[in-house]
Amino acid sequence: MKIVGINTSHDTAVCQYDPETDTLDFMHEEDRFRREKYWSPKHINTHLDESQHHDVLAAIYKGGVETPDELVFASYDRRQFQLDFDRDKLLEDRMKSIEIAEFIAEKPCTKERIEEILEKYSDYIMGHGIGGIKEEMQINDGFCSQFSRDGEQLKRYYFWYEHHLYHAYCGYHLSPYYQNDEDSIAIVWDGGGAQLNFEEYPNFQEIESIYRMSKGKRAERQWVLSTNHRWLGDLNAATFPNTQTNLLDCPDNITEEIDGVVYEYTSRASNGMDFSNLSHALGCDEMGRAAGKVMGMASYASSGKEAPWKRFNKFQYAQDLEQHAYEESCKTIQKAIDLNPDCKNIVLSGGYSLNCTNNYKYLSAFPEHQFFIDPIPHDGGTSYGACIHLNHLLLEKGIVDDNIFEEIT
Amino acid sequence: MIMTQIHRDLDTTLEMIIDRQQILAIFQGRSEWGPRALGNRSILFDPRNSHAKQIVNSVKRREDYRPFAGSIMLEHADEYFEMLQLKESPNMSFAIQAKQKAYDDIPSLVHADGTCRIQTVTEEQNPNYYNLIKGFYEITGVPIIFNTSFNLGGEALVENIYDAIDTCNRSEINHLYIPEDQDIHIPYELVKDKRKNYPKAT
Repeated sequence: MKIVGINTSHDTAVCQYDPETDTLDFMHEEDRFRREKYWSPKHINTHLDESQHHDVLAAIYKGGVETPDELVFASYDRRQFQLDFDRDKLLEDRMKSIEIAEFIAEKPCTKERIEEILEKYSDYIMGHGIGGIKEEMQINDGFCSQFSRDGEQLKRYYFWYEHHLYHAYCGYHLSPYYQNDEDSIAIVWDGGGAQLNFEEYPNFQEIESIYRMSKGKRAERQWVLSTNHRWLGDLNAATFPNTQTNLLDCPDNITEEIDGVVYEYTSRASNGMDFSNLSHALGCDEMGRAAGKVMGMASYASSGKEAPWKRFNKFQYAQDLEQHAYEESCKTIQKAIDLNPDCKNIVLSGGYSLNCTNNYKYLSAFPEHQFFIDPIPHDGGTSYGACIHLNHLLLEKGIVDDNIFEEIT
Repeated sequence: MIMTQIHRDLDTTLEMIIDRQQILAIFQGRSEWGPRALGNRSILFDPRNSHAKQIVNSVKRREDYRPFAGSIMLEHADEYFEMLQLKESPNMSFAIQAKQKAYDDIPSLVHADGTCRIQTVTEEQNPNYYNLIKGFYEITGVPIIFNTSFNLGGEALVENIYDAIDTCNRSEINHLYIPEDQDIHIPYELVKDKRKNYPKAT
């Protein structure tokens, strides 16, 4: 049997996994065919454009795929709840925007709360959108239609909003812990992630997660951190177009437990998003895709003994962020260790795991633990994680129905 | 004419890196998945050259602060780096603290904060690449090679032999090593005179 996984969001990638031999047959990244570094937001906002579609198909054909036995799609969640701000009105009355922000920050934005906000400030905000899944399915349908079996178009594929879970599976499967039949903790941290509690909290995005991984078993989700940073940022941008930061954050994290999993809600930016934002602010990339350059800059900061005004330079900003991200990420690692006191193996995945400097510092901070960094921590790796996830479910449930879209929980 | 030379044997390759201090690209096997070049699609240089960073950043058209990585024979990693609890670092995922020997032998690879992003290599993982580093070690006494991804600034890693030759044509990468055990068709006819300044192939 062959399972093909396709990540249709940025870092678009295609891979084929053979469950019988437990091997990755091949993978291809779309940018290698497009020949341009970095993804482009224009590719993911609506539909894949024609050239990217072509490149993904080129990758499929280069891999020798004719018909996969199973096809699974990965992407981050496009089910965004859009807010449209009346920019003209907000610019005329900036105090109102502060009032709105304070109101938003008072409580976590549940679905009911959002309706309350929209009603109270209907002159300034309009909301629309829960329903982006249609867009996602159009993309998936398009790819699925490229495959045929026995002269008929392939009709079945699988798709879940499980971005972080796929990262975790990818990292664990490529780690020595998996090879040695050992358990591992998987920590996933990236820029935006998926929206796990979409129904209850439409404006929060998952930015950090902890899983317990065991060979032959489905991953066990233990802890999730979500943020509404971007949403508050949108309001801020509408009111003060030239600023980068939010007007204010939620005063405290909100925590709730569902089926034994702890969900925390915050307003802080993810580590990955912080680096992306700084790469934009420092002029490294107009779309904030050069987080790696900021990480490189951080090494050139001064020792801190110079006069304060000499510390206002891009290298110092980069190092300050590097240090901040390190402190925040150590808290998450400690949380993961506290949840799994019996496990000494840690896998790190998600785009922020490309921070090699901080990865090394964790070794000193947690000397009793072994660390493995997912070699494909960016979103391309989720195509592989999706294959692994599907295989677990197929083994457990033996799904055979020829439905166009199977949603399995 | 200035044209990229394609080498199939290891001795000539080492001569170019060591004696002639040339930038050389290696192309072999399947491409790496992920952002790191691990010896199948890499640009190599002599890490003992104290100007290596400036030279290669210039050729790759990158910012001058961008650091470079190194590939080291696993059995020598502890001599040069504080590996802590790491048994190996095959995927170049850690910026590891350099020891004095690294400052002495490979100054171009030690980053401003005293770290170096390192890939440990074994013969089992990548025999051609390991043997290249080993050959470098036997001649120079340094078991590390300067390694950066085989691409130019703003471009994706090269995927196939056509991308590799196109990248060489448009840059000052004048040497391309394709190990002799690689059974691939090499389109020699696509190697161009660099002075004609060919645009990027589409």
